[in-house]
Amino acid sequence: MSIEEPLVLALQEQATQAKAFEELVNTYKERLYWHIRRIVLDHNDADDVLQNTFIKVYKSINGFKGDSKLYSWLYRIATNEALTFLKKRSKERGVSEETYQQHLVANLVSDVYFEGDTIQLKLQKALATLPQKQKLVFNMKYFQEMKYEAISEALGTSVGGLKASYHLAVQKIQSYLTTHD
Amino acid sequence: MKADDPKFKIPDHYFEDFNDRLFAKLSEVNEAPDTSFLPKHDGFQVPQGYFKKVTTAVMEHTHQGKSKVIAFNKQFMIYWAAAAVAVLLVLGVVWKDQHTATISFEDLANSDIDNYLEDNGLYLTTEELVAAVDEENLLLSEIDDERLEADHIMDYLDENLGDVEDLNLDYEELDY
Repeated sequence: MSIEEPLVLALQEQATQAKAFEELVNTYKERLYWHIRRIVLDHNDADDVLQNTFIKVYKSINGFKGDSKLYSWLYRIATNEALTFLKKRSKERGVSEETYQQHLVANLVSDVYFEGDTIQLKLQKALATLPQKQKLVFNMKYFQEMKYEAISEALGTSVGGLKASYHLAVQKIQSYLTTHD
Repeated sequence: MKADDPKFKIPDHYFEDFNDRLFAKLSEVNEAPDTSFLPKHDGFQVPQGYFKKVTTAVMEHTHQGKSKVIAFNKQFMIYWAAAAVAVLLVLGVVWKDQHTATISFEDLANSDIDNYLEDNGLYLTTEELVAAVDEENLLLSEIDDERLEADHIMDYLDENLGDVEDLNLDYEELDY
């Protein structure tokens, strides 16, 4: 029995659900927050997406079959919520997702919850030029220090494909950092 | 299969060296890339005490049975949209009283409704629409009567689906 199993069982029982759900929120909120924040960049947006992620989890917990690990299921929901949020926002503004990404990075300069220096801001600019999948893999591997196997379960991509994506992302970031002021 | 094509040339010993180059590339991918030039932190911060507050906020939402966190401006837009619809309905009733030839909701093309919603920044996800619409007012019998044809579904997916991955299909549950 994995350490997640008692929690999943408690989540699916009416009598223990509320307490178990609070435990789930407390266990995963920080990891999921940082995962979402690195996708949407703004704190208030990350807060909205994080709360909606947990609400979705709460509503669908009875449908969780346990075919995958709980944390990878949570990451999948969080990733979908964050990417849908970005799509919706760019559509509302009538711009492409790439343009909206650039706009988000430009806003970081005046963001009170971003205290990055020049190199950290430049890294965000470099990340905004990457395809979404490479950016996700880079953030999960480099900043969240997740193992390839865990990322593979969360994103549904083969470990080999993830390694290639990570290498490509690092190469592109290095190239951006050396060719841009 | 033809052994070679006279129109295309390849470097000498290309295929003899291919395996070596491929395996060199594979081992390169298996090794962790050099990331010494990257900053250790990305500079993002959270407000003080945020992680304590967020648990309370989530628990409140789930206990009160709220379905979705909607940003203030979106809530305002929903009220604004409801008010606009109410005004249109009143005008419609007045118009109907004064004119025998009336325009009904059915006269609007779907594309016009889509354009109106998009042009006015009222893009809502299916979930938000479901949350905003009163279930009792939905006539499910109408949906049953107009069953979706497979061709219509394919046309819709062709036009609106960017990537088949977006469907989130569970391939294990599909019957091949």
